Amino acid sequence: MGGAVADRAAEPEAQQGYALVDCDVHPLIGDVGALRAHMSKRAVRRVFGEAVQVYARDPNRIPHPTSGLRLDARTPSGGPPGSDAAFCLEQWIDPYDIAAALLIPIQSGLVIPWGDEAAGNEFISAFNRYFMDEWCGLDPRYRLCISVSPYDVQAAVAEVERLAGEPGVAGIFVPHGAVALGRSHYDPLYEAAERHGLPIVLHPTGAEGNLYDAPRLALGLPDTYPERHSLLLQPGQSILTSMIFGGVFERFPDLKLVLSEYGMTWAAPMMWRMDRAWELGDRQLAGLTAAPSATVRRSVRFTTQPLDEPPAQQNLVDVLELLHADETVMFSSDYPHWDTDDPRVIMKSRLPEHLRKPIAEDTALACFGARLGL
Amino acid sequence: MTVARTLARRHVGAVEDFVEGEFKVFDLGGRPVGVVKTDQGFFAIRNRCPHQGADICGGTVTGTMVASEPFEYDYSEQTLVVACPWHRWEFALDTGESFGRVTNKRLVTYAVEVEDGNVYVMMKGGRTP
Amino acid sequence: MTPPVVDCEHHVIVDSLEDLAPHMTASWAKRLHMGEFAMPRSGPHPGTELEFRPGQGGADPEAAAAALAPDVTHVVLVPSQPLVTSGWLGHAMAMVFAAALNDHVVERWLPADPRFRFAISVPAHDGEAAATEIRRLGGHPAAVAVCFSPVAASLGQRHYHPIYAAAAEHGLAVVVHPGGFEGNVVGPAVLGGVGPRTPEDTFCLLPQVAMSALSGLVFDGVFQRFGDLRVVFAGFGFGWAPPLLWRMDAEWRGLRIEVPWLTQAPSAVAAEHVRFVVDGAVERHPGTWALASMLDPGALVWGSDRPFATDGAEDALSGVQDGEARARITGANALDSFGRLGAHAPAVV
Repeated sequence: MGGAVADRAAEPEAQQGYALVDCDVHPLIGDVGALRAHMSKRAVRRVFGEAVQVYARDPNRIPHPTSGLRLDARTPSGGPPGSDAAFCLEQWIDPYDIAAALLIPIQSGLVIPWGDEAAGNEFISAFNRYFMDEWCGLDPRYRLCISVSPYDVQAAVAEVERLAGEPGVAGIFVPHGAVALGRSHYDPLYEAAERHGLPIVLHPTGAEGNLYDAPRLALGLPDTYPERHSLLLQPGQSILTSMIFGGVFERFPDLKLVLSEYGMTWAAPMMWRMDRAWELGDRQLAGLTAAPSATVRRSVRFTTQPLDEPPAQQNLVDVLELLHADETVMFSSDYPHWDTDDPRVIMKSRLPEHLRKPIAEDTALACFGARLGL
Repeated sequence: MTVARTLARRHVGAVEDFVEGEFKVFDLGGRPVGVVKTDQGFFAIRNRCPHQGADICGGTVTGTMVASEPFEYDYSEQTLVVACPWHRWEFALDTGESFGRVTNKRLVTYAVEVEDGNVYVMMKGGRTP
Repeated sequence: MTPPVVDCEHHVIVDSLEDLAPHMTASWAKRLHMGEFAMPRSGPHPGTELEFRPGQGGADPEAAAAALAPDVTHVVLVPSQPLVTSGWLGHAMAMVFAAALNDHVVERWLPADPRFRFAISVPAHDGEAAATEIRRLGGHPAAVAVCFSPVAASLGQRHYHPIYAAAAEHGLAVVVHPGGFEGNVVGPAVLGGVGPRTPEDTFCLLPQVAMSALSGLVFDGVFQRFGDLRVVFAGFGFGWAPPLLWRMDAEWRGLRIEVPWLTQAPSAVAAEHVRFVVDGAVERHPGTWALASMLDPGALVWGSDRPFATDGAEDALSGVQDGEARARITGANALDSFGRLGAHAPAVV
């Protein structure tokens, strides 16, 4: 059905002088049962018992009215979009000549409400092993964010130490649970991440505004999907303020934070507001030696998808300027979710020329370095 | 005085070749054109969503919810739209206009003729084969 | 004729429970005096703990009137202490308190200056009780608005509809303002993420309450139900609004099927129904005015935020180069947002 892949006659991306790094691709385990083989019987029973969901929320709680995934991305064997590493190469990586794809497997958000940390640790280790074998093992363009326990920091550090040197490991995805990212609780993880040159990557899991142990959405509860989706920038904002005012970047100046799929244009007024808060505290009350906006420019990165579509293109250009997009922004597609962005449209029609190479390549390279394998 | 444009009839198959609600995509004069059979007849559209260029024929052909009071729904089977497989923007199959006027961009549509059990898409320019 | 200059947010403080005694039953006065009840502090503005300058007076209507800038033609008095009741568990007590404050404003403040108008302050726990209070005072010639601080429920939901209905009946604008306990206690509007939070976190995240409110109001079709309603966000700034509205528009384009009652873009709905009070004490970066240009020209109004003004509130508009835009913000936009202002011209012309 449809012209699909054949229609996308590949236009040599190299001609425009930059390589494209996609900083948000979602691989999926179609059958989480495959992880059983790597876990103890006790943990298997905990994880795959009847009450446990495959995603971090009940599907009926606030369902997408049609589907949260692209309708044209089911795998050749009929599996859900994102569940076939080879098909992803064929449908996404190759036609768009993506030089490196940052894999962010958000199903590890499952562990967010789990009180059984040991079971969670086993699940996470098996989960990471799966993606390293099936995705990184298949193609060097796949660069994985390994997941870690949001609660058992010792286990998180152990997982980082275990995998930091493995080929294809590029970042650390922390499923955002009940502990604010700015808390000293995470310092051992940040220390390990900084030491290994692994950016900390945050991304919505679906638990936001749904589970008690997950970040809240402000005010109350939304009752439609478009409302909830509009507000997903809020957990991103809270991560940012928590880590900035928690002094994380004071203690770990070389640590990088990537806020993936939380939006980015909100970051301009937020940087100003954070600076104002710092000023009102006479620049010393918060215990920060640098202005928050300077720290954002140095240490925090945002991804483009979903790129805003304001009524006037100039509005976007102006806000990109205000948020120092040449330093702070990296391209992302969110393949294979429904609100994905087409790389060619974004790079050629939406972004001003002087921002294309930084957003496509330079900023990601500066952030992840050799871990992109480029 | 307008100049009459020549429309070329492009044969895309027999009526029974089509499954209701499923697009078949053809290369017609270098353009990807999707043709679909519905209970309101045949429609043809360019296989390119005007939003970000997705292959829109990979989407769905259905009725849709028309305007209503808050938290009431009014589904209209007669209002046939194609919804893009990506962002689900809906376009009326007959006119290519955005349903709900979420955008001024239009989907390119083509006239379809059915004659003696054969389906033809009317394309501008080109020769009748 | 003098161009209109409307102060859309001038707070009223009451120092002592004694001032409120005449405005409640003797038994309620007894109830409040005999327990641990304490008057909400008149110090830092609710929601802005970082502002360490306590309110300068604010309880003296004559002094407040005398301090008004000469070009100000209308003042919307907003009692600030009832706003904190979104953090109280006693709903009946909150209602008695707010009603007493409203009566105090009518009796003590309105006579002090013909420019004074007022917002009817209501707690948001109980929509029907709030509607009753709104109707009680809604016919007063100087009533121009309703004001509340949200509890932890989306503003689109039925919980608040009685407030909108009563406000709409009387042509009153609905002013939404922080209560002071957001992110801190259970009951009021929640802040995004998880805590515990530094004061800087709270300061930075507070606009999220308005973001969620705006989103809920639009996507839940509140303005379809209440076609003449104007909602004014005070104390949240506005720089966050253009990115949110773009995002809401994008969601609508792809998800219209779930909200088919939205027959125009969310940003178009907001342009007609939603306003923001400029928060000069907080949003001081010059880029703020670049963002302002990305909102509807009618979206912004000015408020002095007295007596809580810190640096910048008074000259909040100094960054507005365009005189016409300034005049719109201080005048025409406010008259459009607070329709009842026009009904009774001030004595000073």
